[in-house]
Amino acid sequence: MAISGLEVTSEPTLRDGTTLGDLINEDQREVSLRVLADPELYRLELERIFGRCWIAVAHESELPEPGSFVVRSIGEDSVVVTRSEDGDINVLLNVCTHRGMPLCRVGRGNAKRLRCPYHGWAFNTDGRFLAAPFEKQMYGPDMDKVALSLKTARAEVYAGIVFACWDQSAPPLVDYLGDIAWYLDIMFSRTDAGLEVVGEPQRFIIGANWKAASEQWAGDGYHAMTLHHSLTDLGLADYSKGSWAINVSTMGHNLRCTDNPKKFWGANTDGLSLEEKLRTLPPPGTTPEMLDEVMRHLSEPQLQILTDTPPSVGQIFPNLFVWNSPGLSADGTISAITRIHTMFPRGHDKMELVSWALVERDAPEDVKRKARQTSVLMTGISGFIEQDDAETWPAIQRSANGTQGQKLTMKYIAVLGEQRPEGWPDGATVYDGFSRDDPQWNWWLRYRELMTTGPAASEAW
Amino acid sequence: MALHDAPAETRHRWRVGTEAHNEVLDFLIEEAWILDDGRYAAWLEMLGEEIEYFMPTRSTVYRNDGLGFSENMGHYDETRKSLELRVRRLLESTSAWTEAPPSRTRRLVTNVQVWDGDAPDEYLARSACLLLRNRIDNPTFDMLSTSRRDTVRRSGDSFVLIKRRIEIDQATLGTPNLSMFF
Ligand code: FES
Ligand SMILES: [Fe+2]
Repeated sequence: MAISGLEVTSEPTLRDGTTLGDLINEDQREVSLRVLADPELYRLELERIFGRCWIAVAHESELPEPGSFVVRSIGEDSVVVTRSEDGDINVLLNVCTHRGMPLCRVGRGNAKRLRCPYHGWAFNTDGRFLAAPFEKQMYGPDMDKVALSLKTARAEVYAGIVFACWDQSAPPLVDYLGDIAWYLDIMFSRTDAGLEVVGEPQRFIIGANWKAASEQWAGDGYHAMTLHHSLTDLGLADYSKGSWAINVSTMGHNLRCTDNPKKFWGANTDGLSLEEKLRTLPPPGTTPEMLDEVMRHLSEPQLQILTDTPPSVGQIFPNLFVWNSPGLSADGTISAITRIHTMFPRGHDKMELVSWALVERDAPEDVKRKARQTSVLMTGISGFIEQDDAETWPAIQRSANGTQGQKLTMKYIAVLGEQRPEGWPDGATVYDGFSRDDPQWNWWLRYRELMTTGPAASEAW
Repeated sequence: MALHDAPAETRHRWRVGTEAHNEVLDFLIEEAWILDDGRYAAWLEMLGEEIEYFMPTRSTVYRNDGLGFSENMGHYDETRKSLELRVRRLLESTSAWTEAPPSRTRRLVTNVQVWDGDAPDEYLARSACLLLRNRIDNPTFDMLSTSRRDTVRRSGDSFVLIKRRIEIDQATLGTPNLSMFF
């Protein structure tokens, strides 16, 4: 599906004549390392990927009341995410329409209106121009206020996550998510009160191109056995089955469905009823008291997957990482990891990672505390798992900066091909088996599709 | 409102050069060397069983909205058990890639103030700590500037740390991963 319904314009061609087709070799399933290090390509990505896709910017629980706002980014553009008086969520370009001063210079807060620090123009929390100081003296009686509203992105919420999109012709969020939405429900929409973000997200800079992280999040199960071997050394993980999973892939999105519950709880649930299974293997982060809600919120096929092979980790194209799995807490008991990360590119060789921990809003305080401590211990900036992920990307960036390094390729040559387990729900492409490169390759195909379609972008092209 | 609250004025503060100040300062200096040397097992010995070790995330906020620290989300949110596990990862695994090869770190601990604690054998201390981190052949440093608020309790002829809150001066951290202790 072409995202904007626009035809292929032209193969992007870099100044030296190299085309994107030269860099992404579809026959060989190889991608040149140059894609991580090329500033021209990066400028085009800001237009064609970040200017058109639905990009996660916040969780709705970060905007508890009218006037709440947080400041985030889409690509390199700063945006203010607000909840306006009417309760709606708005995503506004954080740039004053007068002369370009950022309106919000804090990370979060509550405001009745956004007032520019430079000349004082004021805007509503939904972006409408309100007033300017000495308005009559400056502009007379006929100021066209509508034209002076803040630039506004489309904003929609799915599974509690706030997404924004600049492209008016892009499909609605639920169509953009496609078949993966059904699986996101299983991970994030299971209870009446839903999930809430714990405090402020972790924010940190990683000196690497955003795609270095993204292509991994798109389904790299293979690296865990080596890069994350410290978990095995400490007895915290068991990779004896390698990277077996049921990968569910569509339009560049991918979720890994794994038998985590059985692994963690060590229970044999064969032959049990759905409800018995749920009680034996409660969804990560929930409590037994919530199971009636879980059964109400999810359909039977969803509950089936939740109890046998739940979606645990994966990515929404282009850059949202999602995680919901059991996690071993430091005292050896089983807790939960519920986490989402997004990343804001900061130049072709740098990204800012924003990483939220989530808990079930209605869970008791001690359950929440253990879950957030387990999340911090295992994931994010200091987590056992993701510390080491963040170690690889800047190192790969350095390889990609090399003249000879750029001539090498990343390989996606391990093909599993579609393997749909019997009785598995319709929709998406499903890869059941030892995870190979299929979902990551699908990510690159989606990337290529978006990069070669749509409005002609910057002058570089 | 003071930007960084010191303990209440009613507490007795031990001036620089007084005995308790000297002893706590000595403990903090020793700890900084132990961590810079990578002697993590020795560091664990300096921690109490009930230690709470918390480094909140933060956001930039206007003065009237406080300091922007999360009260429940951390870059670190640790107990004795989780710190032991973190140390085990560094010492027992050859695949803790964040520290393989190890970072070179330098902790510059200064501006130390010491107060009486809630119990007769406890003291409160705050210090400024600049942690410099260097990796591989990178000629520059990741700089992590923090203020630390500690509670220490007498143990033998020294102390154990039973509470540490690390307040970092960055809302967005300039290092890709945290594997070192503050
Ligand atoms: S730039 Fe905002 S009022 Fe002038
Ligand atoms: Fe990983």
